[in-house]
Amino acid sequence: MTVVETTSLSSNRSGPDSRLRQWLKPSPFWLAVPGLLFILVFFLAPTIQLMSVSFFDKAGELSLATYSRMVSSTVYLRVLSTTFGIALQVTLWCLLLGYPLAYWLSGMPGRRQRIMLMFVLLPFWTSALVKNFAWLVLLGRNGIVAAGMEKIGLPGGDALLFSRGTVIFAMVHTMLPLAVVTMMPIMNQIDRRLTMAAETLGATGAQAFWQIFFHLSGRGIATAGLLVFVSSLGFFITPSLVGGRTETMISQLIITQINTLQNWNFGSALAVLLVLASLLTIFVYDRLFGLSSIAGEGKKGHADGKLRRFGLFITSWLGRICAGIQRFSARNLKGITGQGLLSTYGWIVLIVLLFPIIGVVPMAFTEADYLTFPPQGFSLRWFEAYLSSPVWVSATLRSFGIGFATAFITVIVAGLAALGLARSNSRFSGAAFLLFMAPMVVPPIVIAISLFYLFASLSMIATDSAIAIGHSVIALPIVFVILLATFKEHDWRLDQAAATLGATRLKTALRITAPLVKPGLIVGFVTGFLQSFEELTVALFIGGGLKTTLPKQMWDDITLSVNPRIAAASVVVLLVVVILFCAIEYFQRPAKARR
Amino acid sequence: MSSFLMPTRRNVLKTAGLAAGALASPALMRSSFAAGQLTVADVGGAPGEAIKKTFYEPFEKATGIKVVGVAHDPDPVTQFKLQVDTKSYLWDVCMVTPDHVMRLSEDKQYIAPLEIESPDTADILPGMLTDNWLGFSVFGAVMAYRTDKFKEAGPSNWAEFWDVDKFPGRRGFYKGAWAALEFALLADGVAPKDLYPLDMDRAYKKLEELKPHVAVWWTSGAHNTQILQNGEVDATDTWSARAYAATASGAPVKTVWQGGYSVDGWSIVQGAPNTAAAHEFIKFCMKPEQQAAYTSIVANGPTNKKSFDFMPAERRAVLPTAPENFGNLYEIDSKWWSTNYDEAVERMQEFLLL
Repeated sequence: MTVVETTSLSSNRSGPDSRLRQWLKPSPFWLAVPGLLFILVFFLAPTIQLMSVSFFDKAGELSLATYSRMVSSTVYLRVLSTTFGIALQVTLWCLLLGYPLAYWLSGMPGRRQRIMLMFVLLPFWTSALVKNFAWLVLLGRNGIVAAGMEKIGLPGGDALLFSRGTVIFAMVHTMLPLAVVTMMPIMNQIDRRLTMAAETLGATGAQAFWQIFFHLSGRGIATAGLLVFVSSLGFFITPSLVGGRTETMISQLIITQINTLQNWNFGSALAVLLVLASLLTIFVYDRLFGLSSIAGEGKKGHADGKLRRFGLFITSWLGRICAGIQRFSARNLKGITGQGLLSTYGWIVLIVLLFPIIGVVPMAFTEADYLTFPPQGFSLRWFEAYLSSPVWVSATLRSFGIGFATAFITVIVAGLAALGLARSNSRFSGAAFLLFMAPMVVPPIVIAISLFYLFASLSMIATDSAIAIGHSVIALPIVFVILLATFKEHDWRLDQAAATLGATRLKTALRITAPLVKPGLIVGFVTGFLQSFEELTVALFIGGGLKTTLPKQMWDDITLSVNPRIAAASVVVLLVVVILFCAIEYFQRPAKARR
Repeated sequence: MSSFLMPTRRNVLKTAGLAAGALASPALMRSSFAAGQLTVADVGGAPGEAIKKTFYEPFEKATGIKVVGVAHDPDPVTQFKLQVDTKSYLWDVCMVTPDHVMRLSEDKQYIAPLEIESPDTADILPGMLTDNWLGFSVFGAVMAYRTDKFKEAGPSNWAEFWDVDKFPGRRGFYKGAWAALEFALLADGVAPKDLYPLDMDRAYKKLEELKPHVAVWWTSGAHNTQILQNGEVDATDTWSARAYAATASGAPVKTVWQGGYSVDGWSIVQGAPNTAAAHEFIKFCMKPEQQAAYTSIVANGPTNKKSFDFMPAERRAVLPTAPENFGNLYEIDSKWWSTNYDEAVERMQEFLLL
């Protein structure tokens, strides 16, 4: 639409200013403009205003006192390094564990893949609060895992919680679905005949995998790594509930400073520290993995340089080593096939992913007043408590409404932007890419408070639309990256071919582009919905206590009392989600399942 | 800070207003402030439900003024200030502690006066009614232990809590420092009356002794109840209603009334649209029968002495303000905490990380 407008604008203008015309000429980059405005108005301007607070003291005088305090104690740098250390380990584990899982899933026929993906995503639908309390119950000193370990004589079952390992485990558990969802669509798009061709040319299965498939899936790995890493930086519920003495992450400090101590100056300074550190990471990541190729910068040639040769060298050796192992196992371990190992692995990871959910469901049917496993007796009283409470029901409905609104806003805004950046070679692409990613590296609490000020000035506090806009800011980066990857992988020559054969632009878009990018759009939509559905901080501030979303309602309940009603609420939500997935599946059926 | 942000907000409005106008639907929030209606912010959750049942609904019945209860953040000061600063009022009355009151009246007066004149104020415990705040719910920062672990007798004071040889077992301790540093000083032999101003060096030195024996550094009230309920720890510091929640759900947990107390109360938001109704509401909350009804649901102490006449003796025994328990508790010095909270939290972080 924007393209059409600008076209008419520039052709109507007969002025001599050719530079202006150059600027306004129809370029796909214009598609990114609504998204950029959205980011500017609802994210960049309010956040910068709020962060500027760190350069003032409490009396409102310009001062660097907050920053000198930050370096005067080792606490803040330690916490920052803990944060990065944890995020890094979580990322590595997610990639390591998620890659084979995504590979396994991408090898499945379409329908089965979507059903399995639903199971992978289920933990994502369970509130972080509920999941962490489930860990407290299941992995506790008197929990079922400890009892099982004692029975088979394994030591240490009573000390599974409250350590660095627990935090990383719980965070990997939360982030793994994200990694899989990001890597899988890219693996789906890889033409498997390429590996077959390689094998025809004499490569073993392992060599073909490492040198062809692994390479082609590289962009998925890089994207997933970045997404997991930056999301992990902002965790605060998990380390505070299942972490030990030293597991304090920087978001916890920011929340303490702003929410408990009202030290906005210092809180913002910590936020600045986190934002800078994350930007630095992105920069380094970009240098190492050529992420800017995702943003549409023509750096491909650069990536073909040393680093690429190094990568090829590594993967070719991996291929050789694996080929060796393959030959060895083929000779000595008859009956164990790679495919068999892979699916065993896939099922094990899936079971671990579903473990807290399998735990939460029975906990909801307990007769007791508290969360316990195995549950005591059988009763529907907590479902009754949930469904008969107008507060809970309206919170649930509101969450669904806001979730869908958020998904629509983000898919449209991010979709146009991603399309624009994928098709354009404007020199602003790199900067635009960073801008779209920026909300991810700013802690949600900072976004929430700066938006509170913005919406207060617009008298929009405690409106559903304000929450939806806030959620869209939070969800935008992740949806953007997913859609950008989708559009980047789309073979635009197909569209050109259609145009050559006489199809109009609209027809090409509807008949060629749309069906091919549809899976990506659906993943983007679902992700946008999920982000909103799970989001707590923005809802906490902008909801003003009047408009309560489901996570906010759970938070209210859980900060004061833990009772199985939150488990019952989670079960109902899971049920609705499963039904939704089935509905999507049902409506997709006529269009024959794609490979 | 707040004064600083005011011009900021206007700038934001200038830059964002035009573009945002297209997306923004007109705010409907003012409609909830119709005449004869009062919006009260409480802590939500289970206490929120009890407050609704024992204060809001009876008040509505008695006066015809409808009360809308909303839940605020665990710490409402930020939201409170933002409303007054931006003049976008969500609440008329808000549930706050003396510490919040202190922070809300430091540089700028965010709270409106109560203007209560009544002979009934004599029944209120000393200090529980000031000119801008009425305390109605007293909670203790005390100790609790599992009776299945300590069958004969558990630690009965803070020195014994520290004594891991005599009372071996996993300890829990509050990660947030607030009202917990006192316990280290008590364990080190400081008398309750000499606690404030707290000697932080001494407190952290004493905490160092306990550090290796603390299995769980708990972070919220629900966290505390959970670790007591499923026996994750054998003894921990606690907030009285938290330990009672574990006991009430059937867990073998005993509360030891050694520690301090603080109070939740009501304050009126400065400039709020329904101040007159707010005054009426707060007067209503002074009544002994209302307070008794509330504290029969939530295990916090009433501030009206006459409330105990409206409840059975066994209920009285689990409440912090019952004379037999209240005598062992000192008042947590909100003024000290208000000024030193920041430093205490920073030192706690330092202490935990090293």
